[in-house]
Amino acid sequence: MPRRLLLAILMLIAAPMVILGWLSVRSLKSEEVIAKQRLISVFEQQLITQQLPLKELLEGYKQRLAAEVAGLEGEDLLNIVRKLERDDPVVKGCVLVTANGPVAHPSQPLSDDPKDLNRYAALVALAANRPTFLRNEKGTMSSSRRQSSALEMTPSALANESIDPVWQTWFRDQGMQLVLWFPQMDGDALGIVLERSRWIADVIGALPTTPSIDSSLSKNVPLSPGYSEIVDEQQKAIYRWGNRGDGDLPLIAEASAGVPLSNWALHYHGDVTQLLPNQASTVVLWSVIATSAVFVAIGAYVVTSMQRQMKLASDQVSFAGQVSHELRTPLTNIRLYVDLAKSDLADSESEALTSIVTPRLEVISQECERLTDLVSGVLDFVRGDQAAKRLRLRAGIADEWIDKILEPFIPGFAASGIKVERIREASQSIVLDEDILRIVLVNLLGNVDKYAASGKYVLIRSSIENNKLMVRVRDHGPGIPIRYRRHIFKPFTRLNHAIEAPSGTGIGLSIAQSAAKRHGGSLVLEPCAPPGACFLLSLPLDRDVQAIRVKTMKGASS
Amino acid sequence: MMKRNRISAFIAIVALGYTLAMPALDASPGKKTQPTISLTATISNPTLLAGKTNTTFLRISLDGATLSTEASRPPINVAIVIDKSSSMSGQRIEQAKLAAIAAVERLRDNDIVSIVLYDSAIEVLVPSTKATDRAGIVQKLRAVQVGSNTALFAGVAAGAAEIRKFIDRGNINRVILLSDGQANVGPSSPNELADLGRSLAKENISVSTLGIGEGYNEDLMMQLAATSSGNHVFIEDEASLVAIFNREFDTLMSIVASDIQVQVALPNHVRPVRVLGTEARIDGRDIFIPLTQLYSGQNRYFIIELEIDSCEDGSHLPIANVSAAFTSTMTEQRETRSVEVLSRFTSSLAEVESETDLETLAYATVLVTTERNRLATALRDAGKVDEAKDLLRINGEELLKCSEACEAKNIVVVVPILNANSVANGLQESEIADDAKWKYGRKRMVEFQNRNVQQQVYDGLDNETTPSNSNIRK
Repeated sequence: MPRRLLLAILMLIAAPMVILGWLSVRSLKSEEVIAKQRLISVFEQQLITQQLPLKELLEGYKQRLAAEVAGLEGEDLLNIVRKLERDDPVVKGCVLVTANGPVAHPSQPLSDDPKDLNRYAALVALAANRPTFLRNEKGTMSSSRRQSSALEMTPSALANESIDPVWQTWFRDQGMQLVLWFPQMDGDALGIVLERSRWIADVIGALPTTPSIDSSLSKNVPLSPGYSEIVDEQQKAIYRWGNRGDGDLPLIAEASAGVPLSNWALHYHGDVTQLLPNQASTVVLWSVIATSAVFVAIGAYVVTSMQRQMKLASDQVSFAGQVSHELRTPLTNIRLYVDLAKSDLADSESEALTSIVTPRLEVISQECERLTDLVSGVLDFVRGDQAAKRLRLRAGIADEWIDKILEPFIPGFAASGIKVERIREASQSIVLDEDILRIVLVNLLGNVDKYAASGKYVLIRSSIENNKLMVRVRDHGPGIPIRYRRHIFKPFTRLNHAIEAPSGTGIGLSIAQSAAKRHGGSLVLEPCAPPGACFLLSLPLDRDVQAIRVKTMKGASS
Repeated sequence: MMKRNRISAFIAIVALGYTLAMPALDASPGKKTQPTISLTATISNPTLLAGKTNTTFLRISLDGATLSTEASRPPINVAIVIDKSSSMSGQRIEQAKLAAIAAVERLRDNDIVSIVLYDSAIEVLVPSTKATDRAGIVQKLRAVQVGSNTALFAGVAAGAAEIRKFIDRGNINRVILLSDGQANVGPSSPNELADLGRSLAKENISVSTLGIGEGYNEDLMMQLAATSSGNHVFIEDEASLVAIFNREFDTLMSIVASDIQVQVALPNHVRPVRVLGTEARIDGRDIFIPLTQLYSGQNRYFIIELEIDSCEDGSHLPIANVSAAFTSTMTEQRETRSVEVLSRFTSSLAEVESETDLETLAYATVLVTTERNRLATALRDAGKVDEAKDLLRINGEELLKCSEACEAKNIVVVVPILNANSVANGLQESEIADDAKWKYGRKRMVEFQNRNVQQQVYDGLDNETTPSNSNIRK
């Protein structure tokens, strides 16, 4: 097998595999991206669910403290505020601001303790920085809606109506502090600073714990591949839960910790590559491998079947060559004995016998010549270009040569009911290898007889144009379907392989075309209006022929 | 050098421990029916100079009765929080496990126990449970292995959360934290931990902090213990861990009163200046001192500096009304005690001086010098070694002077503590400049300060289990 063909086939196999591989890598990548996105959103959802216990916790503080201070005023409120500061683990300090500005609680500390002084200063600063809506100039209500409803209510009803406490975040000391503001009936506002360390501890308590090793082992629960964290406003980790395997993993999902901890965030850290399901990639990998295997199998099949076909073709060629070679000796003998018979007849006295037998011997002689041409055409083809014979150029008139070639076909055409039209426009004397002309025309006319008899028509038109002999053979047969037009000159191409199809070797047109090429000319299928087909043989004259002769002589000698 | 250092510190501590027990021993035979707590309040100058603004120290003293037997002790609710970060690997975690196991084995069926481990994450090894299945808990403890980082805050928070599951204010609720490292996950400043301790104390949960080796943050550990009135101990050698743990449990099982609220109401002519050392809340002229528990035989006192407006000669005026509410662990009843402190005003300076209550003044001196000792630590931290040394020297001299004055007046009860403190200050003075010793020295100093302020009943340099010390004693 030719190396180039093998390479081409290998390329044919390799190229789709490369493309497939590339595509699958790409799709894997995009799948990975999608899976990653999905994973991230899953983790984000998980983180968001963690907002709930935090919200419940802080809401719990709010409800509890609201219940403590609900409906209290003046000295009662101050007493409860002092008690909260002292006894409530969640309360760090309280500040009570009156509507018109002054701080009612805490009072200026009497002691010299810097801690007390600091705390006082901080609470006063907090009062100054309380949410703006609490600083109602009229000092009645936090909103006009409440103001209007207050007009219709008795003071006791007012006291029972709870005004929603409001969260404030305040940055002081160790970081973000949570302050709950309780707007009071008379326009005062009570701010409760929650104990930061305490609510952080409770936040930690509200978040999940890491399962202990033995419990997770006994339940056969796979450990979470990453860990979650809650981070403070400075992105500092406050608490971590999840995977106990340590070392820092990259952040893959985050969510806010929810109001009022909006400055805090919940983070999920994990190794995405470890988290992504591996099945997808293995499936793709296997499918790529399987497809590659299929490709290789197809390639192997193609290569072997091509080898077989080429072996078959070469077998056919050599068979045709051998047969043709075997035919030459009997043919030569037949022609020899026909010539002998002719000379015997010339010597004979019987005038009547001579007149009857001579034309018959003539036919035998012509048919022999035709057969010889066929055989030598096959042999030329089989031997290939190297074995091309030298052109045997002779001077003559093309029309006469063509008529002579056509003559043996006339009876056959007549029998098939084919009407022969002959246009003669090449009556000049030219120099040509008559054998070439005969090989081509015999082939074309034979084809008309075999395949285009249904058209009942054949046109043979000869002309000389641009120093070229042009011979057109046109029939009205079934014609050549477009898809076969490129293949008909290839050896062993037959349009119809059916048993009932007319007999033929499949190399006729190939022989004809290579013969025309040997003469420096061409044989092509000329486009024509249906029905039928039109073959055009063009053979260069004079100078070209000279050149070809020189070339062929050189080729032969070398 | 190291040995000498240990010897001196040891002397100081033994002496200190001895004195702490003295008042209780004195007080108990005097009374027929043994009350859980006796409350006394004295001022350093019962006779004040008239016509002048005076400053005096008020000493409030709580004496816990000596429990006859451990058998009748009330149930305790304890969370053992163990640092299992990588620094604990090797002997430390093994000793910690042994210590915890020994502690668990001492518990009774109606005690409540939980065990929390922390590294970078929290692991609740034993969720809060009645200590009936002690063998199971011990088995779990044996399997503990070390991890990596130190999420100390979350560990304490989780321990407290376990306590809270079965909390009873009147009971003994204790988190015991064992750590050898710096908190590096979560809140990690001493102030934040102090706030946590303060908050836990409001729920009557105390935190004892046991620091092992040279790596832990003593300020953080001390403050956490101080604000929640737990114990703080510096454990130099992990070999003594089991013994220390035992002592911690000894004290825990000898608590006579819990959820103690000391309240001081001052009349209008008296201004609170400061409360020395202890966690307290001054709200106008009301002073609140929370205390989570009082141990058997413990004498716990608080010193409050007061400023008294000038009064007329010969008048008798109240200075403070002191009350203490507590839950007795024996009767499980809420009880209160209250005393009133009066003073007489005179224009005779000699009379004022002769009437000075030297015992009260001595205790006040101990705390005042302790405050100064803290300042010396801060100065040393800031690199001002000489100023720190000066302060320590002044402390030593002042304590010695006070001791001599007391001895002259035959008030021997305070002499040992004054001398011990004087020696300790002197020792610190001699060693504070040495950078090589500072790491341990600072931990010892912080522990010393806290023990003075809290009148802690035991300490970390345990002579019976540390071979080097037991040898020295002889």
